Amino acid sequence: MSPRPVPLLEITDLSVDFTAPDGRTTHVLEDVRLTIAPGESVGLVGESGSGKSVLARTILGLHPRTSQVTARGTVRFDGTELLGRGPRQHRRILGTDVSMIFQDPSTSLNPVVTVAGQVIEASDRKRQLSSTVRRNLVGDLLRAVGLHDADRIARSYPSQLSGGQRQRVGIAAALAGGPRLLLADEPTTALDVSVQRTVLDLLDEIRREQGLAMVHITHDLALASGRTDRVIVLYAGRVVESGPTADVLSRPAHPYTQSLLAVRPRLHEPPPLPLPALPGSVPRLDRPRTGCPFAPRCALADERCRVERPPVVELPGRDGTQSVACWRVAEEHAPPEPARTLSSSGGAR
Amino acid sequence: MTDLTITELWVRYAVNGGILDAVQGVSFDVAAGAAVGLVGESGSGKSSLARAVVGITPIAAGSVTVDGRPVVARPGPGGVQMVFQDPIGSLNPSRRVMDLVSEPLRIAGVPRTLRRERAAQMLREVGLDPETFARRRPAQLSGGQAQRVAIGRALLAEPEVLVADEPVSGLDVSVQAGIINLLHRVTVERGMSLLLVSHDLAVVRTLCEAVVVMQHGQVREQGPADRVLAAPRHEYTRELLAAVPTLEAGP
Repeated sequence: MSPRPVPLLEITDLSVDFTAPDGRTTHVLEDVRLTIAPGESVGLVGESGSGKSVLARTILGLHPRTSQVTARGTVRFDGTELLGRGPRQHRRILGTDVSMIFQDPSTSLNPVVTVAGQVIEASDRKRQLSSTVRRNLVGDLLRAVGLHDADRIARSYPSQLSGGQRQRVGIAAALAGGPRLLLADEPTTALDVSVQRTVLDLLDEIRREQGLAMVHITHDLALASGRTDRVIVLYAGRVVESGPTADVLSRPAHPYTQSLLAVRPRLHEPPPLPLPALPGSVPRLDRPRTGCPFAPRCALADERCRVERPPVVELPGRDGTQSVACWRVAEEHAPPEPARTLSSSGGAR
Repeated sequence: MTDLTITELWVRYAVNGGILDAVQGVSFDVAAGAAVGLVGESGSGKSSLARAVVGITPIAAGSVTVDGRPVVARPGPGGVQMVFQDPIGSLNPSRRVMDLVSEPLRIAGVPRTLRRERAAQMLREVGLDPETFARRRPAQLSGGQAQRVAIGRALLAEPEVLVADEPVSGLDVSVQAGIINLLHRVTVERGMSLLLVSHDLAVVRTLCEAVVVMQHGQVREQGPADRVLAAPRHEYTRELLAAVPTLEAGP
């Protein structure tokens, strides 16, 4: 057997707690695992409170200073453990290998620095470049993100650009350091649909050309479709389902994923109203969770779902394995004898 | 019956020493009890039109009437009410939910006890338990909860037409569904007309029977939602539709 290639990013059993100054602890992520191969495109799908943004920030080593953050588990980038290092060391290891495109370019860009300045700053973190090389690099990057009037735009300030142009500058800055992993945190939600599509197409193109791995962080499964190889669905800090995008979208196995797809307004053949909306809301994360976090809102949940943590069931997919943390799925796919799928050392994953 | 009629409406702003005609002679009707979607991108003039309809933005020319009477001449309860895109930002941060919801009743001079009773009833109607929510302030609400408060407040003014400007954008998909259902239920139950301003064609398709497509301040196309969004006649509508992400599989 040939050894599996080393994943670019490998996260195992990651739990993240925030402790506020008043001592209240929030369990933001619980036992998250995921791997990202070089060049792979992955959708990280979750709604508010799912922990998707905290996951991205944990990878980057960016955490709010107002809370004390405790992270357990492992986060390895290219084989090097990142957890447990100080912010500076974390950044030194990552250097410019991982970069992030933020949701709102009008707040993530510095308003008093020209476009050229922002892109240069991003490229200079790692490399010492001469001013001519830098100027050429800025021009190349801006043209690569579809800003053809690169010279004028390089001299502009963010406020002089349209929303779409600003997001392209954000992407150019994210690419400046030559990253191997790009985290895109809903980079198009602030943009018009037609601009949205061109920006997402651009990201796809860049990913393919440069062989980057990309994580699309989104609350909308449709945005992950057509642009990702795999999706990971987070709910209340836990991975409830993951697998090849085509499989998860065509036959979602977790009731939460099913609901996310069912409640989505549709352009063609819209379902009659009311939409099958989920009752209740995301559970509070400052209390210990027992059982499945989705159980209080799940039409299929029984007593066991509420008290016992569901096992992770692996379903063979067309193009990889679909993993689902659900008692119902476990019952359907395993023979009833209790020992097999349900055995789990130290609690289910 | 109460129709909202928009006739040759112009909205004009002074910008950077020049003039911007944000809405350029737009006409359409919202029939009594109908839901009409107004779609377009930034700069299309859809929000300017919505604000002109409720009288927040002055009308440069043309008219907006409800049942033949100009909207601007009908202050106070009744007429047209609006809910906004940023529900938390659109609510006064220092007021409590009970006071926010009951504000139209206070303006109408309804006595305090009755006001509280009707506001509590309204909170239940929009899906918020008064016991839990009445004393909260906007910062203690989620986006979906704040939008429910905003809708409740608008409904207590007993409008004939509700204008909703991007009421679900920025909300999570599962929260969106709840607000869409709520807008549908309350407009149908009250026979109220809905003018839904949105860039999200799927949301419009779900809630509205008719669509008006705007670009650069002008109407490009209008008609029944199923026809316009399934068989668009204008090139711009086709472009908008092509850009909508759909659930197709595979990269």
